[in-house]
Amino acid sequence: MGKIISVHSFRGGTGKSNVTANLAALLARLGKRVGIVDTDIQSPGIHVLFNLSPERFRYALNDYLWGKCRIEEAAYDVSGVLEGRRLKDAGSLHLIPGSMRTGEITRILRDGYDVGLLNSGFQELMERLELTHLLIDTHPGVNEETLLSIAISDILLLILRPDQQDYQGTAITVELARQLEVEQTFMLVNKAINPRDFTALKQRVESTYHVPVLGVLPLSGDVAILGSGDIFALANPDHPVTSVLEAAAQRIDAA
Amino acid sequence: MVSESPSSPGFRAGDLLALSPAERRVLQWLMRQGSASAREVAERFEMPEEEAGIRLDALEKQGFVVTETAAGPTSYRPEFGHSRPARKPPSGIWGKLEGS
Ligand SMILES: Nc1ncnc2c1ncn2[C@@H]1O[C@H](COP(=O)(O)OP(=O)(O)OP(=O)(O)O)[C@@H](O)[C@H]1O
Ligand SMILES: [Mg+2]
Repeated sequence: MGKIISVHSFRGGTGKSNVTANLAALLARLGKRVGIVDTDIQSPGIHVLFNLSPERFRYALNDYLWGKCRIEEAAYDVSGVLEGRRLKDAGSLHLIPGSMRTGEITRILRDGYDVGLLNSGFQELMERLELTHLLIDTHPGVNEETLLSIAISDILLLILRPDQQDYQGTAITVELARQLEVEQTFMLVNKAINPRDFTALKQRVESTYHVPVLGVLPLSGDVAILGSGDIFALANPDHPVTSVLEAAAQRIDAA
Repeated sequence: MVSESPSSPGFRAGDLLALSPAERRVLQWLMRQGSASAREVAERFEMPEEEAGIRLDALEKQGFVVTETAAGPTSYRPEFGHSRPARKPPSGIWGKLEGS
């Protein structure tokens, strides 16, 4: 059975969508069959990193939640991003985007949806596409979907910045993960400033939360310039940011 | 612990945190499985079938699982509560947004 990995942060803009897309691509590069679900229905966006434009997707997660399609009909094969990037034996990437239509986003907010359907959608997707990993990109903060996705995850990956607000908020999420007995929680520090301090920063975070840190990523001009326009690790295979992401993907694969 | 609104049955995410660890573990496992019989729950958690039955009954009484008896042994599946909008914005706003 495949693994469900929720990527979450207490606060917004930590880099969840970028990290999710990169880890998914790197897992696929290790030969895995990887699914990605954008559960951030209120502010979807990860499809941008896979160069999947909203005109090209007929169905989104919203349609599945309203019973308009089967979950696999809302899954787009985005393995194309791996092509031409010196890869042999790559696996595959399947993305379920969130709708980018104003009326469909507001409808979800107004009417809600059947949470059971979201849960069975995850399980069916894993079975029908024979996924080895299902990555869930979440909306920041603690809400219904987030708690449920944490409750069914094998792995929870928490992204945080070296920022006092992130530190306090992350403590809450770590506590929730403990209460829900998530099998494995990891952290990734993003947008760190001083490279000379990275080792100490990692140790500090680990000893504060008692959760393994998969890596520390710098606040990077190169990542910012890319502006979610591509998957950084694929576009920049020899970049130091990519090495950190690769090591994180390997730890997740080994977990 | 029972959901606040009787008109919307099933559990909400917050209910998971209020359950006893033993019941919560069973419910979380059922979420991943889809459904399971008392015997399967007993096997998974290495406990007598009777004890698994007690936990499942307790979850059923709270409205967090429902039973199906169509074929073979009774199977239990999680009963999710419907997600609702968190806030009520000013009336008329939805019509305006959707008309745009
Ligand atoms: N290491 C980094 N260095 C510089 N910029 C970064 C880095 N990581 C992410 N960013 C930038 O930060 C912004 C937010 O990233 P992203 O959308 O991945 O965050 P998020 O956590 O998914 O946000 P949200 O909470 O809104 O979903 C993007 O502009 C992205 O390019
Ligand atoms: Mg995001």
